[in-house]
Amino acid sequence: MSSRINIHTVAMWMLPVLLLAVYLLPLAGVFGWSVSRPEAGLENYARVLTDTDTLNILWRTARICLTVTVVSVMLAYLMSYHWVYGSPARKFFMELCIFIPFWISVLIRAFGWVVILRNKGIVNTFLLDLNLIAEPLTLVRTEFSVILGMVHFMVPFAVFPIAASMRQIDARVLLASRGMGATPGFTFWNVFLPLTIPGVLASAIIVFVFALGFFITPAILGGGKIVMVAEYIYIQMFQTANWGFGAALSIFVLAIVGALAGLLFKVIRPERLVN
Amino acid sequence: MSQITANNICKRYGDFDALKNVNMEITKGEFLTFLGPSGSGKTTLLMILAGFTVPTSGQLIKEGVDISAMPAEERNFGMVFQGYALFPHMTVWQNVDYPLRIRKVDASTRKERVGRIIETVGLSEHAHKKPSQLSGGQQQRVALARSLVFQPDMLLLDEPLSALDRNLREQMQVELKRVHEETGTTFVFVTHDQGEALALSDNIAIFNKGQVMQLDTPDTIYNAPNSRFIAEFLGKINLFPVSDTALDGGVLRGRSVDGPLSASTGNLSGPVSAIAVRPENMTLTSEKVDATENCFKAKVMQSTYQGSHIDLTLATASGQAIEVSTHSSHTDIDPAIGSELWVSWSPNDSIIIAD
Repeated sequence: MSSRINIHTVAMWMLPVLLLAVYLLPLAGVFGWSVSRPEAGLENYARVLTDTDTLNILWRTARICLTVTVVSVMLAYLMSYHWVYGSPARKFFMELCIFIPFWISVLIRAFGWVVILRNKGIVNTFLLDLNLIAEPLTLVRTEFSVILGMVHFMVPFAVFPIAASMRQIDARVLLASRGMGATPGFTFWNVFLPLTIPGVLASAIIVFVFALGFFITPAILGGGKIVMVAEYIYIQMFQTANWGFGAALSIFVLAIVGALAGLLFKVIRPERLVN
Repeated sequence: MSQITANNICKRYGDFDALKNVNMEITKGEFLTFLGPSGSGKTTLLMILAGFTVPTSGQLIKEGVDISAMPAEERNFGMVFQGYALFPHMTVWQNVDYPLRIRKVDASTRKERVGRIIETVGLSEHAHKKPSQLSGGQQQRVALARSLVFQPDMLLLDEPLSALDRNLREQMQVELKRVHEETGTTFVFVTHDQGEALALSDNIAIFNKGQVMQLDTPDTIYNAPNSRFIAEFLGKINLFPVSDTALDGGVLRGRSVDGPLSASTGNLSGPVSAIAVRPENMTLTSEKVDATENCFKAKVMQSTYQGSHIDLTLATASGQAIEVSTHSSHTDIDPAIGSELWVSWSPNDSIIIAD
């Protein structure tokens, strides 16, 4: 009897201990660096908020993340609609579009885009052969290519919360709206869209938080020209050895992600989505 | 005055005939109930009336115009759904206001009409609440108000009371009846509850296997069912198969295994297969009554005290089980199990079953 209790106790404490060992302790270490290297004080945080290069990168990151969020959520909304309400054939097609990207490595997908977009890539060769352009367009190493690659990665993640909120809509509610004389457009703006807003917000916050931490895709498709905050932190840590400044930037981004996660819970109230 | 006429409406789903050649006239202002077992086609016809389902063949005529293919949103019919289908993100007021916003009614008229109908259904104090904050009965009233506020030509109700408990259901029946009288709108009501149908309707259409078996007033359907199905479906009844039937001056005579039976005939035509009688129209006596027909001995098998009356199950000499309902204050009989009693009834209470 007592040994069983011991096993339960051990099992119960496993997760908190793991969390402490692999997450909270290193985090405390990073925080420690941010206020101690190269010397004690809040110097590094002041630099995050004043250094022009850093602010430019933060601004670019915010701009890219917002664009990616808006585009991904809009695409995901359309895909969810077809997934939830489409004919069986269309449902199957949407499932392929949503699930197959999950099985392909983010690295391969990023390089795939490079193959398509580079100067001697598929798009440019095609346009040159048709004589539509005289010189290859610069498509890789632009904000456009970074956004394209990120949207491609994020859309499947954005689909799930939206599709879940669409599935929860009682079909009779839409029928009732029609029966009272509403056009499809009126029903969409007044009933369908408002009922899916919790899903849209959940999806938007998930995409935004994900996008904020994106590393591989901007690194490959931005090719060092379009640097986002995650790559910038990497450079500070491992290339210029600015450990303290990199740590301060990390904590800064973590605080923003934390605030957004808090907002997610407050606005969407996940317990309501479960009901 | 006929408001809607259904001509030979058929609806087929694959090999399944949901509706077979349904003909019907719906009179303006009436309370018409579709009653039948589940899967009998009553909801399918309601959906065709609403415009959510298109019939496979046949026409729906409204004031001389075929509206079979007219989409629901153009028909101007109100509908109360099973489960109410209220908009969960809107308040009571916004829900009721919705059909008026669709019709681009001006703000002051909207305010006045929404206020009035919400008061009619007794929800003025709850106007600012969301449907999730209301009880089942209150949600029901919101659905009713929302489907009436735009003064529809007809109100369609799909089993609106089935989710409510018994007391509330009876209360809502009274309410529905009152609202029907106040608004004068044609109500078409679908239910599988016989009591509800008898209590509310001007006319009842009884559905079975995709066909309308009988459409009449509740009184006619109960007392003069046109078929064995109707007789057995609505209320309790005792059926006695008869042979050697003969008409004799307004009286039909026939022989059953338990003795000779008779029935007063109205305007009888065609063959007769059985004579039936309702349990409450039978009399129980301890001695044989002075009659040669509709009278025989039976043994009490079961007795259930119901307060105002006693329900008895008896077995005739041939072994047929019959149901008799007798007033509790008739204490001149002993309904103890095993005792033998005389059962009799007047030929006027006999129901002639043709098929």
